[in-house]
Amino acid sequence: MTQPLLLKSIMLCAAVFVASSCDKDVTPNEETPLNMEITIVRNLPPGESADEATYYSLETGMQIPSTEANTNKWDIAFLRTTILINSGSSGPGSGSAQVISGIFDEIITAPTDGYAVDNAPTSYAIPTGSGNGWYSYNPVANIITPIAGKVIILRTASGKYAKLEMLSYYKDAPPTPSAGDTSRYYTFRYLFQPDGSTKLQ
Amino acid sequence: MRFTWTILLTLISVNSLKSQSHDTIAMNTELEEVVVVATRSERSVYEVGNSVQIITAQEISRSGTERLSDILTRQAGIQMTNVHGSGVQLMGLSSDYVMILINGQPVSGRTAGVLDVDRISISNVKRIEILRGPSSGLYGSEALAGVINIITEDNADQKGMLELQYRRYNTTNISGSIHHKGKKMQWTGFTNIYGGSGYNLTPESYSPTAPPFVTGTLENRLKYKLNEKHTLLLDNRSYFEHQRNQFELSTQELISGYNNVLDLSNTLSLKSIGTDKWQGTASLYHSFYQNNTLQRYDADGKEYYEDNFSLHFIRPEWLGQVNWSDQHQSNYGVGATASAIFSNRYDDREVMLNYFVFYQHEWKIRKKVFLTGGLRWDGQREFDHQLNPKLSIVYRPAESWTIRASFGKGFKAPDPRQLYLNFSNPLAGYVVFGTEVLADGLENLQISGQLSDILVNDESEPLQAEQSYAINTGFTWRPAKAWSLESDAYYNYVFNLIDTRAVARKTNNQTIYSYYNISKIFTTGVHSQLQYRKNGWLAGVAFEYLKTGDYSIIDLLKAGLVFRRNIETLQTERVPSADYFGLFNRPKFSGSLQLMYTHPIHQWFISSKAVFRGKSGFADVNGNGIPDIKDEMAPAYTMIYLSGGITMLNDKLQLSAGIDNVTNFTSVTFLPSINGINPWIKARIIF
Repeated sequence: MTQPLLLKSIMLCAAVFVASSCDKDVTPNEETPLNMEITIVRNLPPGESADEATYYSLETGMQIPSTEANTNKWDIAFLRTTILINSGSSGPGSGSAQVISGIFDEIITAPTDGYAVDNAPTSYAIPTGSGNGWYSYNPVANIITPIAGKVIILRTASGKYAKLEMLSYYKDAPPTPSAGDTSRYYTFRYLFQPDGSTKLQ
Repeated sequence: MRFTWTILLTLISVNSLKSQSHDTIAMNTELEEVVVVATRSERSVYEVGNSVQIITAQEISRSGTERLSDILTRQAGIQMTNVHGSGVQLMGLSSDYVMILINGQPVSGRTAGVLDVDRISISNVKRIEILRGPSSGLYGSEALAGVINIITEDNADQKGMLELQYRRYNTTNISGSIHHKGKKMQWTGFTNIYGGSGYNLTPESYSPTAPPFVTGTLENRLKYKLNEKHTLLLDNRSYFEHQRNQFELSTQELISGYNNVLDLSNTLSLKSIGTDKWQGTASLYHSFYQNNTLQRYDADGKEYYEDNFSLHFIRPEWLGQVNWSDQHQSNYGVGATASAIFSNRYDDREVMLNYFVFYQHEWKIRKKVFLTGGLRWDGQREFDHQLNPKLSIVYRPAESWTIRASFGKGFKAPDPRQLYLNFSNPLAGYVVFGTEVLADGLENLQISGQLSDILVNDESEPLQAEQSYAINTGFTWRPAKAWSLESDAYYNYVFNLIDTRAVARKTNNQTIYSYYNISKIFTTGVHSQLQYRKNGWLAGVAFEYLKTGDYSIIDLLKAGLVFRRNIETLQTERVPSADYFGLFNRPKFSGSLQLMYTHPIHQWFISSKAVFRGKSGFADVNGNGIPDIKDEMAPAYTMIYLSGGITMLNDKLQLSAGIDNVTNFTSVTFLPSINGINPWIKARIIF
């Protein structure tokens, strides 16, 4: 199976690479310009135990240890196919999110309303279940696929805007995953607006 | 107009065959072809407002085909599907919408909408009539795309026949028939045994591509003349199929089991001829269909999967015919059907009742214009009653020209499973409810605390029948006795198509689905055929262009709301409208080329046929549910068939042999039903 090739232009501005499951330290790329660049995170690994989420800060581009789940340090977390936002039942942050249909690059302004917070177990800002939020599940092949054209617009723990697109649920992001691939390795890209405006370009 | 060019080019190339010119010998003289399927009474194909293709007994016999599916797969424009058996796709409309009749009576028993035509032996078939165009105005539900009518041989001038055929993978076909003709009684009996050892195209896999199977068919047709005016007819058909299967679960656990199908049908009818002016047939038709699957773990014999389905279908009916004058004739009918369905996936045994009445009038104007108008009403408890009109006109300006056009409406009643299914997948955890049991099902889950939230406002929306409007138009041109050119164009608009939609979520995060009238689709195309028959030669070219699509997807594409994940960069991109290949499993182009020679005196023959099918959408890979990139397409392919035979002992013995799939084409992923080069031999004895 061929490794997915990312567009060169994106490679240049990619800020974070999580090399493998053994190496959980996230190292920001020194060459990254100050802001407004698209960040690609590859192979963000699952939590230590089956029920432990992986916490991540869009603002710093760092994985946050689960011991700090009750802080404002993280913005988004991944627990199997469920995406948590630092809000409501998930954390003390003032985050919120919504999923909109469109193309990542074409969404240049964050909507001002339509955001929701996590209210586990009844509802989540990013709806759970196949076809409801960011993924679809094929029960025959037992495969989770991110739905094309779904962009998550979110407010971070500190209330700033970001847009995010899930790219893969499997380790090394195979183009056509099979049931044998290791799951719960998240690959996604995002753009964070540090100045607090809704501008996402 | 690409296809016009194709026709022109083939016209030129086939024209070169015209070099020999002698009088046509008796055998190849085309008789005025008669069909029943279009109007429910015998009509010349040139008086019928729709395209009717006829497959003759000779074509079947010489092709070495044993089942209905085998002969249909060799026709350009007919696509066979291979999920839940061999389904017939006509004009891009799936098996659900194609009615199959044997001697005018319906074949019942569908799995997920598919009627498996492997069940039908064609060793005793006189002709097959393929009617394209909605015929619900005559036949009711299911006849939305068209009707395939199989007419069996009842030639009482023969005593009978015995046929033995053997082909690759130990596939054996044994058929016999007996005809008896007395003063008052005429009887035809037919039996067929067909079986084989199956095959495995992926030897490394534990489960075979096609498991071994055996089937048996028994048919009886009894005609008893009570008096000058009354004839009693008794038809029955029994079919049995047994198939063993085995497979390996991912965890090395072995499963084995069987699948049995039983299909019985009986018709008792009384035909009365009143005067020259009228005649009628009262009939009582009953059929029983049963499909049982049982699979167990090899290790401990525990049950892994069980599925039982059975269906009783009873229909009393009166069909009448009135000859008002030479120019006017009417056909009418009235009847009722009752179906009782039992399945371990339904809560109870379900009974569905339907009543119908139809009237059709034909008006012949100076043997040049043929007008047919018909209307049928169908009533049923579960959904709104249906009114289906049909209108057609045939114009014959000269003996050599026939121009036809028709308009019709068709419908397909909701399948029992769409109404009554109560199924929860034990492995994946999702649930599917039929619309009639949805409210109760949700309530039960609510009470047991398994329901998380409801996603739709009105969960008990009654399901409506799927419906269609269609226009067909075409012509037949026979410039000379040896030549015929036929071309038909069609457009089908099908709406209220039933599909599943998520209605609620369970607390375990799994989805509950039910059935809704969702999409509207179209299929449009052109079917053309050019034939040359002379001096023992038969040359034919057939071609079909087909375009299909889902209107709701076309709207989304236009609005720029259909996306795909680039399988290299994994990023989302917008799908351009032009990339939409239409509905899955519909090749845009298909065609066939046939050449056959029969010796005018000794009657030996050699025959060859090539059938081409263009690429078609196979499966969604990039997550948008439509075929739009190369990786989602099944590639184009061509199948070549060769056969030859001799006739001996005063036509009493016919020996033939052939090779199917000469190029040894296989494609395990896309076409597992194609099993490589397949030679066969056959002997037919007529006594």
